[in-house]
Amino acid sequence: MNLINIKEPNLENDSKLCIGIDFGTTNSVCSVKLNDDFIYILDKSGKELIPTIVLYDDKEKFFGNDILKGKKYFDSIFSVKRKFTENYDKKIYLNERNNKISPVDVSKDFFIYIKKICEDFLKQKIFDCVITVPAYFDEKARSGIMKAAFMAGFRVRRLINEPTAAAFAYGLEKKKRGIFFVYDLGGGTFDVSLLKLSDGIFKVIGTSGDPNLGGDDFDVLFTKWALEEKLKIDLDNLSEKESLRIIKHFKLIKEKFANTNHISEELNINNSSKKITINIEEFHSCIEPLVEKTIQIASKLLNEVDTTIDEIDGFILVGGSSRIELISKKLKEIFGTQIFNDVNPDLVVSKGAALHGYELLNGSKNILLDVTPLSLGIETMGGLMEKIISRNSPIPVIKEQTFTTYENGQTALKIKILQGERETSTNNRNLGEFTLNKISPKPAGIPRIKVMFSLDADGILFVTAQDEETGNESEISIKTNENLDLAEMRSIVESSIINAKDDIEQRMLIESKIKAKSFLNEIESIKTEIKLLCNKNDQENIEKNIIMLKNTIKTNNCDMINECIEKLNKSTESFAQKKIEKDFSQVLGKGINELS
Amino acid sequence: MVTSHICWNCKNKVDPKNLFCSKCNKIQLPKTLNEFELLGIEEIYNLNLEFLENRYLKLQKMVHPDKFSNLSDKEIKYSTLLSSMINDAYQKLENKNSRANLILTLRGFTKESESKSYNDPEVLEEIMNIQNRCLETDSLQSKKEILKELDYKISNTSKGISESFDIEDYKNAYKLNIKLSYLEKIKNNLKML
Repeated sequence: MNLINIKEPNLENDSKLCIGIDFGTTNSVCSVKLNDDFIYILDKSGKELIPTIVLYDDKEKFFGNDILKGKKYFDSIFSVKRKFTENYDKKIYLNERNNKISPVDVSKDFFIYIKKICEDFLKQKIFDCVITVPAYFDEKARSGIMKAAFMAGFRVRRLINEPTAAAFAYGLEKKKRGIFFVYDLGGGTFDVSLLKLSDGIFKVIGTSGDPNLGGDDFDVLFTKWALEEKLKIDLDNLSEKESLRIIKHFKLIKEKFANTNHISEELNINNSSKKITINIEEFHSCIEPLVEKTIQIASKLLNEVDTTIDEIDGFILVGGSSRIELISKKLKEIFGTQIFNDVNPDLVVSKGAALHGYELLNGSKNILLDVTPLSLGIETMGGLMEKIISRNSPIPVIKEQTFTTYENGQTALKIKILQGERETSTNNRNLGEFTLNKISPKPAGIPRIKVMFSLDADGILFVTAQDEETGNESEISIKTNENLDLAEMRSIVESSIINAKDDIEQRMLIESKIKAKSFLNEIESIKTEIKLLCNKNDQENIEKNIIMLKNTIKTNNCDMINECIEKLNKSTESFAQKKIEKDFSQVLGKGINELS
Repeated sequence: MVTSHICWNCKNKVDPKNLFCSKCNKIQLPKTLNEFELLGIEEIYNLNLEFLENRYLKLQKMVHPDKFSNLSDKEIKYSTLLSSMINDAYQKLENKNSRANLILTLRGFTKESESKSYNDPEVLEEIMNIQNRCLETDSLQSKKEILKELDYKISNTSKGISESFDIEDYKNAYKLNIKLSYLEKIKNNLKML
């Protein structure tokens, strides 16, 4: 084959700015590369580390270092990132206006805050960013982070894995080549990645981890042990706020062990002062089980990817929690290889993201060839998972699977997509369901529907389907009623960046558009029910308002969009009432009028 | 038979084996290339893995979406697809088992033309035997011994497949390849124990 060299795309004199964001469980860090300089972005208090905390209080919101000194510190929302491996759309917090909000909303507010910090520091508008995520994050968690950043008005150029970002910065800075093992223990997540660094390519060989194991867990374990062992107090018996305060105190004690072997402190528990003394041996034996757990995950990965210790050129330690002395001691003991801790474990991830972001916007010299951390598959009969893309496959990746019907004349197929390594589908993460419609009615087993599952370079899933007979291609996105897919969101952000005058206007426009599109999606999914329940007049009215809303979205006029949403909402009121009546009568077996 | 295709951008005729238009340098999406052609390597069973990897990395350096982030949506889409296809092809070629299956398919040998179940009693017994020993293994020493034996069997079977391809005995290559897949599976399970 003839290979043709392509030119570096878009090399211009003025480089475009792209912020590298390490959105951490405990702290977040932003940095940027400007032509030949690389800088960490400082907040108003002049700090690089921005605590990932949000406080909604008395009609105002506070973030990061602004909260740290305040009295209401312990009322803040901590470790919101951990919620991304759960249901992050569930409204579990209250904002400053006492509205219920979700982890995505909280993260959105935090992203707005750091966007502002970056703009104040760099004295210019910022749109582009590269965000790092834990390597072991599943597809759903990645989508959630992406959504939050989109809603904050960021144009997310890429999501990259934290250990990959660290290796990228490390490899470029120290000009290292070879096979490296990144051990990344953050505040809430643990990742290990094995990478091969060569000229122009940073290739991930394999990755593993635990999305719910981090410094936070060390703190809780340490606090529990110390209170019980030294003071005969059960942490679980304290109030939530009190235990949070004490765990934060023990986090500080933990950090002090980096410089001392013996600690003696006054603790204030339930308004009485208690003295506590702990030595480093006690601390180490307390946290040893968790350190062991991380080492097991590391060993298992090496086994899995068929790599022996002597092939590895060294370990790179990343993440604030990797400062615990016991970790490097144990790694040396077990793997007997060189440990590199000559990078700042708190900052290096953000640096990798910024360097990569710079290359993405100004011409790439290096590519990051990453892998998917978890297998992707579909649910088969009997609730088992059938793998389609196996874990540690390089991304982007695309796999085809042909489906057929199992009943004569069947015209639709429902497919559930899963991610994880377990045999049974309930033990894996459910990424969503999609339905293949409009299959031409044929005897069972005859229709052939080719479905393409693809994970892009961000690790985000896209599914497309094609009827092999008709050649009909249909883009199917996996979504629940009210959720937008990321492609839709990306285009909303793109159009709003171009059209909005300022930040606030831009964000309001994004919010209105997302609301409008979600609403339209929701209506679309209940259209048949509307036809069933509403009279012709109502139906026509709804249809008219749908068209109006669709047209208004294009105008980029925030007020008009909101007005049309309201109109559409009004026109569906009679439907909503009828639906409630129907649901009631289904449950009770009689009409709502007969209830009284 | 290779038919040239038309560049989506400048409408120039492009050799389907080229991933970039020779006139305007835009990325192309070849639809008719098989895995070997995509990676630009000879369709043989005994591949030099180092050569394969170098080839693969060289291609990814050209088509990976990291190189296209600042270009049009269409180019980003094409680069993602092409990069995905190359990743998939590399994975299939890297593994002996799927590589043999690929060659069999390309040579027109289909599984349907053979009985699907594997009924060579001697081989079945050999597999069952080693599988049982894996289940019973309790020491690191015995695990190492079985792994060594498995490696020996795998390399022998692979040699057999290679020889079968040489004399175009696809039926035998197919049978041996099933044996190889069993052996590989047993080895992987044992390794993760």
